[in-house]
Amino acid sequence: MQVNIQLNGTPRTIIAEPGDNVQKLLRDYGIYSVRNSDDHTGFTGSDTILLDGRPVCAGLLVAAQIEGCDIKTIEYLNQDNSMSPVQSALVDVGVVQSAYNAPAAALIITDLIERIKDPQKEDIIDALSGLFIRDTGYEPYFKAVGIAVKRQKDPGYQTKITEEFRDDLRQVGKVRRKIDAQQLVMGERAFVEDMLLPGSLVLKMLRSPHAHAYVKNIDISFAQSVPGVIYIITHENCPDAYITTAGQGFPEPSPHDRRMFGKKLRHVGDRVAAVVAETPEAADKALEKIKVEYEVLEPVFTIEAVQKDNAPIIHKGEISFLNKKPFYKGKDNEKADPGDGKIIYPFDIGADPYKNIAASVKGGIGDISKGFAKADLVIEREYSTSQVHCTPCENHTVFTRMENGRLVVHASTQVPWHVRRNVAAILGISENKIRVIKERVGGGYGSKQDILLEEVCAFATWKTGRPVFYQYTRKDEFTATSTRHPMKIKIKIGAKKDGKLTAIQMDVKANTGPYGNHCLTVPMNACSKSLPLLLCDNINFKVKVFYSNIYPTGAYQGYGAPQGSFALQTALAELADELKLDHSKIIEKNCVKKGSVLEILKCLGEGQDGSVVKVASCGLDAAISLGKKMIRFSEKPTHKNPDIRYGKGMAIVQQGSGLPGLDQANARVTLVSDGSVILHSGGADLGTGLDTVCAKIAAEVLCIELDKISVISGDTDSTPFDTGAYASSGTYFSGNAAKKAAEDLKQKILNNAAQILNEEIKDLVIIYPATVKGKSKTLSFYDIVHKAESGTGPGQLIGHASYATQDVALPYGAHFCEVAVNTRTGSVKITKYYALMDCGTPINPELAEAQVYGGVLKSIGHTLWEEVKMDEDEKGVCLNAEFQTYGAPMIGDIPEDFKVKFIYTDDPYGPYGGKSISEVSTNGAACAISNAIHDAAGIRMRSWPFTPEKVLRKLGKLKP
Amino acid sequence: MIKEFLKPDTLEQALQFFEDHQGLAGFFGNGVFINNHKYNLNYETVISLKNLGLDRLVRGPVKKSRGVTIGALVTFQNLIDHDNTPRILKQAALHEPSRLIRNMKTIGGDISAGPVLSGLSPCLVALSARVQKKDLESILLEDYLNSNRKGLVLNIFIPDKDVKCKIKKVCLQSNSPAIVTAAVSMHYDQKKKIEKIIIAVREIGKKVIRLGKIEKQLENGSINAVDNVSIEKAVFKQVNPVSDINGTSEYKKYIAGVAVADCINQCLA
Repeated sequence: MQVNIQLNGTPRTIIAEPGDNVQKLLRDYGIYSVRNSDDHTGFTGSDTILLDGRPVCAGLLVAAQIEGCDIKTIEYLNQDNSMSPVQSALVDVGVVQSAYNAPAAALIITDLIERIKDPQKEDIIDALSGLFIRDTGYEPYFKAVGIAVKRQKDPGYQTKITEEFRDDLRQVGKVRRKIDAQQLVMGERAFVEDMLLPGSLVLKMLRSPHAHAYVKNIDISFAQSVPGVIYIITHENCPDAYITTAGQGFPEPSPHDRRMFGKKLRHVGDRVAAVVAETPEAADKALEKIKVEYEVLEPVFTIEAVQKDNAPIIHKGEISFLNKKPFYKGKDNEKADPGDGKIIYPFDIGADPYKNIAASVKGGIGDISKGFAKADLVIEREYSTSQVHCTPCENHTVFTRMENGRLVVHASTQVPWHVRRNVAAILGISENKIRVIKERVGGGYGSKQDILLEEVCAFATWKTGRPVFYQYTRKDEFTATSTRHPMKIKIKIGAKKDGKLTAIQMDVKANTGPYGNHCLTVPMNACSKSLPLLLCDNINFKVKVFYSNIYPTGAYQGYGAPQGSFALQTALAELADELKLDHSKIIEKNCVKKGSVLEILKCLGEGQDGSVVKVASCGLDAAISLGKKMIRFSEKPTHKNPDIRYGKGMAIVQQGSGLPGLDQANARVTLVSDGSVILHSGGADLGTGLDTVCAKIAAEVLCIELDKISVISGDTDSTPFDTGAYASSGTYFSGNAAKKAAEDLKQKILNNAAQILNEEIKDLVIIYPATVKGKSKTLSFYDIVHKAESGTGPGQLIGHASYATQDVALPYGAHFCEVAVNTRTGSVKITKYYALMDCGTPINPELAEAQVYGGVLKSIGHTLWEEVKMDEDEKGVCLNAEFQTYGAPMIGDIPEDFKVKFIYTDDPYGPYGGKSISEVSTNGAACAISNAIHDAAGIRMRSWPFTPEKVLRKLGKLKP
Repeated sequence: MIKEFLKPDTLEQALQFFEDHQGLAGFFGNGVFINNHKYNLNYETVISLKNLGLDRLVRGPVKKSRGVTIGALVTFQNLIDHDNTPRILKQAALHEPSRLIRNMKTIGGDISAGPVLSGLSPCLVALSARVQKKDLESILLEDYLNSNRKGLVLNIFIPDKDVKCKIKKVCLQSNSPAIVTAAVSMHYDQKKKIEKIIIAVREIGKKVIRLGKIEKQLENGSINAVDNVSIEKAVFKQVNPVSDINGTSEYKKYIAGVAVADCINQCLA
């Protein structure tokens, strides 16, 4: 049928089937800004359009019903090549980060301020009620709306966005527009899905209905005969190569226990077969026609169950060792079942797979027995945490194609170089044959640190020679991506009467699920990011990680630290309670300070020996002191409704800044012919503003305007190597690499200037803007590069640097909250949440602030609502594999009073004193909220999420 | 997938289309349910109601009436924005948390989707709403929901827009579905003795139920309307939810009691 519409002010006639989905139609029509992140169920708002002037979900419309309608998308708001007042306001407050939903936000706010001239907070909450934002925690949107309203009347309106830092610097620490934000908020081509070529094949996956099973027989003959089917991949024809999906270091600490397709299926949703077809419809039809005979095995899900003597074994494969040196008993291979595949260990991680132990490690300092003996009080407590999803707005997506005999992978990934290495290993080709281009990433949060789909698509293209596109559905996101590990953590802690700690013992048991990606490192981080916060001479830790048939786990922002912090700091609060001490006092008495020596870190290296660390910068004291004052920590308000009780709680947090001794970043800075600069960074900007960090740092070194620097990043062909964006490494590693490369270029500029001016280098100085000043004369960068590139010049001026280090820069923070517990309903409302963060110099203060809001809100989510819920009849099926019932927070769930404040410290190792941010902000909510609930209602919540039902049970309103 | 999208200009034509398709076609408002694959409605033919003038909300059916007639195609957001909408119904419409969806979802669609999916049903039952089908015949919404729900809903009539009515939604967080929704309407005398009360409760995934026994006990005074504990206990006994991902049966029974007691308190306040 013909559908006549007014599209962005222009009459259009679209040829469509009556039931064609309007979101898909618009994309086919070149409207990239209208996206799908919820399988067209109307939850996330990525598909927002204005239909006859009202914002609605295009994914819930069909072609026939839009006949005669007026449709506006973000493309209508774009003012030539510049932003509307709403768009620029969103950019200015720092919310255009992963930005998958940024165009939708701009449309919705535009509608809001057309309806209501001066919208109040409740109007904004109402307007954005259907928009899912995971990265920036909603709070900055209130400021953005205020700016947009004023900018509608006065396009030049400017205001202070947030606090700035470092008066001695021009770019670093200042609010500047994120360099890719305009492209993103205007809905331009940016993400992998936007790179699709006409004629591309589509890949779809047949997934296991069983949690634990063997594929006894698979018949693809009927599926192959479906018209349009090009290729089908199963365990019978895929490469016989084993990898870990975890993109971390090399060799990785994770076991290589994953084959592209295996005979053994280890979770509901595990890969059974992939169909590559001309159309999605053909692929779907073929999936239905694949006949699989399963041998269903008994599944096992919990930490308790996998340890039983007769528990089903998840990995009974043949064990081998990457470095040929066996560190596990080889006789186990006598029991190996070929159907289980193989496990290859790059090095010893304390595994015993035939007992379902994926990894284990223990260590400590001092004498734990003596430490407890010295204590006046010793308490022991156990805490548990649930499995939590990352839920990036952009689903996992990959597009692969051939170009001149080489494989090109357009990926939404945090780890482009790991993708290249793994794809090469699986395809059996050398890495020079592969190019990985990290496109803009619409949210990762750890789940895109795993290589979950890239290698299948790459294999399909390598076999067929055709471009292939593969995008997870939202259901796939909930069943086949990495999640936060469920853990059970026992804490034994002893102290003197005055609160001085004498001993801490931390026993972590974690559930890694079907595969061992990140199995050692995430649970280790439960210890390594919580224990060093406390100064204690006697510390012991044990970590044991188990395989099971739950959904896959892996990296998620915080990387084990949220679980560890929750347990340790809640235990500390419980200890304070029993000692009748103020919780904040016991923290202040024992917490780390600048200059503290963290001996415990020598036994907490990630896959290698650690080292003792002296804390070079620490803003904890100031954060605690200011936070207590802001929230009036010692005051307890009352509510007129006696059922509602207020309480306050706090927690301190830390993370790392990358992995010293393991990570490496490289950068190249080129002086372009007119004196401007192009920076090539290996860093993978996930939307967090890493490219902007690098640009600012280079601009600072070179005394050049920010818009005279362009950044090209995360492309294995055109940018230098970088281990990737994980472990909070971006600012510290990629930022330092950019700084060193810019300094290298600066030296070359000075060398050349010295020659031209015939002066000593020591007499030259680079001054703003882009000028070398000598004793006698000044030269612009243009003058210098022009000479350098001439027939008699020394050549193009390029600075290059590699950054690897043993120096450690630890970000810190103190989180405070106030809750209102309704003792009748069990509901917990967060009335105040203040996050005081020390990230050294906040290089992008507005982006950092928004990320802290996002990190805190994610952790409020896992503390109060979010969890993977499995069926009770033990089949391993996720019952809430959709946004509607999963429980990720929306704008209506944010704290009533939500504040972020930075505590400036000057770290000697971070670039211009910058340390990491974002990840660290997820570590505080669970313990702060738990402590606040205790303060309010006298109950201890030791198992997240703290649902109303659990609160009621603790209160005795329901049976325990 | 929808293959045929019929656009009648009159009610008669719409009904004829329906008959022509032996009742296998779906009536189509804005498509929030029909277009959402998770409901598996899978209609190949739909009959659009767009041109039938069902998007009006008016006082009446008789002028100066205390009631209000709401066309089936009035969206949730229109309900909220319209001056004539009973205030409690506005609150019920706000229980749909997403403004984007409220701009699409219609009252007729909500009711026609059936008692399990209808978010407005507890409030409408408490308000004694009536469903008007063809030839202006009307039946109680409560009866409609309990019937096989055949036929096209044209309007919803709310007889007394000013009746004392309160609702409460219990949900995990702002955009998650209601675990329990309770709605209570009542008439009471000057001494606040309840003369007539309707208590409607809907548990997630279940149809709305009336707590008739408790209504009688409140009307005859065997349960004191200000005695929360007694009300909660009575509701706990009368409702029978199942345990699922939203909570155990025990929790749902408890929280339903709290919700009902709160609504009663607020009606009397």
